[in-house]
Amino acid sequence: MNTNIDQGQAVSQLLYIMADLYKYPDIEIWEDISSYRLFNELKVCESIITEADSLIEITELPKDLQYLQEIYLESLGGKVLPVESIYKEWTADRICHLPFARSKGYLFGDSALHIHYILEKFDIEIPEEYRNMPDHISILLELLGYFISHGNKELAFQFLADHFDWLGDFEDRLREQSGNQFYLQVTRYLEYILDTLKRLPANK
Amino acid sequence: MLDSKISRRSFIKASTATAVLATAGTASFNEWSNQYVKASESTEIKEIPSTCNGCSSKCGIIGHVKNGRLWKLSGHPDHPYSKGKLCARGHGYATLVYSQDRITEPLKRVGEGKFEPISWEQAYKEIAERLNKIIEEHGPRAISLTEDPRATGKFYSPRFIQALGSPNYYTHHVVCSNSRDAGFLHTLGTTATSADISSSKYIMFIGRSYGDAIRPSSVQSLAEAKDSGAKIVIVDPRLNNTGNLATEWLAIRPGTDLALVLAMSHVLVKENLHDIEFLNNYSIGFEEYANELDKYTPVWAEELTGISADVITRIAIDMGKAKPKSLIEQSWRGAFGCNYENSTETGRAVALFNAMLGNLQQKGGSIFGGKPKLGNLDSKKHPNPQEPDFKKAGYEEFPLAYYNNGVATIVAKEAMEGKMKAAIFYHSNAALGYGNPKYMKEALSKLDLVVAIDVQMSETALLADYILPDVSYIERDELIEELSGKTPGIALRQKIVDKVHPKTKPIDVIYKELAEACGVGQYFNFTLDELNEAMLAPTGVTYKELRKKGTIMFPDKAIELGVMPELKTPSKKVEFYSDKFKEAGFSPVVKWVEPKVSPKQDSFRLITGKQAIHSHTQTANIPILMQITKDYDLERIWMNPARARELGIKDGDLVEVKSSEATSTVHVKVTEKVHPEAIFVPSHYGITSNYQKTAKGVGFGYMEHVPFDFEAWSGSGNIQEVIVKVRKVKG
Ligand code: SF4
Repeated sequence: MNTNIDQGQAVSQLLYIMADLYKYPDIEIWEDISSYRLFNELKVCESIITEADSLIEITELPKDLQYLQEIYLESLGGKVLPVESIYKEWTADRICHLPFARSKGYLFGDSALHIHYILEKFDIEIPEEYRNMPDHISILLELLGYFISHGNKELAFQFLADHFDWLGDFEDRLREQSGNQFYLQVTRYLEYILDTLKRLPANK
Repeated sequence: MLDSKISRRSFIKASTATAVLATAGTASFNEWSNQYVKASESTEIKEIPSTCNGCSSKCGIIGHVKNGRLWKLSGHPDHPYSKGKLCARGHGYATLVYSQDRITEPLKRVGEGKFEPISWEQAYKEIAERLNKIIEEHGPRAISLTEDPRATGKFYSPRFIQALGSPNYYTHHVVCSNSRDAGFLHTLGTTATSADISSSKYIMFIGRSYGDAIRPSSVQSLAEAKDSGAKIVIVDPRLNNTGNLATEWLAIRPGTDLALVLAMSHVLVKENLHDIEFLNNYSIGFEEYANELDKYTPVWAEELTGISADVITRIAIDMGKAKPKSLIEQSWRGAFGCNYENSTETGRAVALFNAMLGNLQQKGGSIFGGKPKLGNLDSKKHPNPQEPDFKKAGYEEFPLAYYNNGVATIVAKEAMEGKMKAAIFYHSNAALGYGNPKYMKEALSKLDLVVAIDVQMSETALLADYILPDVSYIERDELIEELSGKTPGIALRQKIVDKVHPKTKPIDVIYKELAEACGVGQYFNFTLDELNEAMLAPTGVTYKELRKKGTIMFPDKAIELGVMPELKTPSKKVEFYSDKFKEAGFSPVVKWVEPKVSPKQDSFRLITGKQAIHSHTQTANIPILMQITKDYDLERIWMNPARARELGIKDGDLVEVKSSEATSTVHVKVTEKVHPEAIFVPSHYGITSNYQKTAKGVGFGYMEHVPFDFEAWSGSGNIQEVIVKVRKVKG
């Protein structure tokens, strides 16, 4: 990751926009989406990070906010929660006696505890409703953006390596969903961006 | 550079200074994880006693909590149902707390199967407005509340609906034990006795299986009885999982249990093995019953049940000789909880057979359990809602049904008729489990208001106008639970971990806040803790002590065996002749009643039952339990080899099951363990809710084949009065 302040800010901004896309859509984000302002900004940010043009497009725009909210509830709001714990073994604590200790598919796993640890360490607060879901993708992306914008390259890179390796499985789950592919496309785009970040010369 | 407004929605709030100070190493997941695992052996573990909710037994549990998360569950050693052990369902169901399939916030329906989030305040406001409007236009008789009761619900739910002026409170028993309850109630004055299994010498189970989903201590007691040489007879068209403890399996023709009990009763009288002294002292109407029994000979019963007259005679004589340490276990749903048109009469005959053995309140016999004496709220400070001056819907049609539980499916019938306008369902999947789902769906769609309060998106929730998310049982405190039995006691469910989804709420809070929105908050002017304190007052136990121990038994209040209590029947005695039945238009003494339908040579009766790893459909979406189903193909239907041969069906074939109501395809297990006239299907499958990802698509829904119906005596669902044809689809 380049510490160049413009590029750093662009990356952060891009991550914040992506974080917002994974929250329950309200009228403001819908206006940004439907006016293409949001995608234009993504492109601007993206062009500051890399010269290569993304081949991944977000084309499946829902027809209106109500429909976007519907598909959100049908996927990210329940059936395909974008929460890291679900895609990872619940705990590495080998003496945990719960029958699902080594299984995937459950909330509040070790990754959530790690995020709690980070939040405490860096004195960062999150909304009460995410207290037991701190590894929700929106929080992860905002944290990553925050670490980047505050110039801690090593920490940001470590965080990127630790907490985003589940997106492939998440994408698979979204693909299983029928209907509008908006969130699948958003996720593919996110994966592309995060891959690009990992490959930036400053990170090698 | 950027114009969009997204930064306003930022989740994280940071203090800038700290971030730059940190180094990656200290915050890396691997580093942290290593530290965490290393530290985990010495991390403090809190132990919180509570109760399981994997089934209605509510066994005592100990929740072990580490780093704020549930870390282990064990059986509470003092609780009489768990005795230190939990069953597989109990362990599995606890995963619910961290399940990804929970309802996390209040939802409002905006179209068929479509919902949008709504704030609690707005949801309360809208529900209250609609309830009050319905009451204003149609009166309080047009609203209802149904639940599968747990301790808090038992107190709050009827109080809530009564606060709104309606007596229409119902429970799931309509597809559980309504028939048995009615049969026992008007005979023994209680809806259920318990049994002193471990001391018994001869035990008969009719359709009841301790090996399939009954509390751990029941299996323990049965094993003890077996070790002491007790005879254990299973009467069931399928060989259930209690088989390995049984001495004999009677593969009875389904629907004819009443004939068996009548014939055994006949033998007791004929052989003079009934307890005449007991009957003289503690019963009325025995002579009329004995006269009626005259015609129910073992030969007569052989024809109906398929069990030889010799076997019937031998078992009845052996049970008569072993009395009073012999019994027919009282069952719950079993074969006569809600299955056949003759189930209430079977329940009555079973209660009377036990009375003829003189086993009531005897060692090794049937037991009227003792209850702890608990207090109540001071009604001056906390006024009780007025009792409505009319009876609940369904009472007129089914006056013999246990009034407190009612006949829950009357809500659907009256919705169809336009009489019922609103239904609240708490912890109840009535739309899938109580009656034919097609009928239930249509009925619910006719209501002006449906509210579902639940932890997961059940089929009922999907039909609701508003869905209010409950916390899971691992995340809530509840009302004190009475434990009745030989030794009475109390148990407390308490919060083991903080709620995972902050927008979920416990039911006591939901009722209180909804009542306030409805304008009847004065009836809920207390907290759960205050109510628990009031209940505990007469026991001498402090709330602090109960919270610490979780389960407290009162051995000094244990019942005295050998002392017959005064019964709560009108005559205060066992009623072989019931005026109540007569008043309701039924025979005052038990008579043989034919089941409603009978299979022909080319058809089967569809029967159902439990498997040890599930509780009805409640646990179907629990991944580790459903995996066991999948690993062992437990969702298959069972068919007898003789019938399978006739139909050209082999083990594992895909078959079509067709009834008057539905057609399903499913794989078949060909086994000698089922009666040739019956197809057995486990009752846990056939989930249709898209939100229950693990459960959906596994097996078929038994209830889809059950015609919507009421048993004439108790209003039960007649859930085994179903005829199906089966044909092979694919080998
Ligand atoms: S029998 Fe099993 S599932 Fe039921 S309450 Fe006891 S431990 Fe829980």
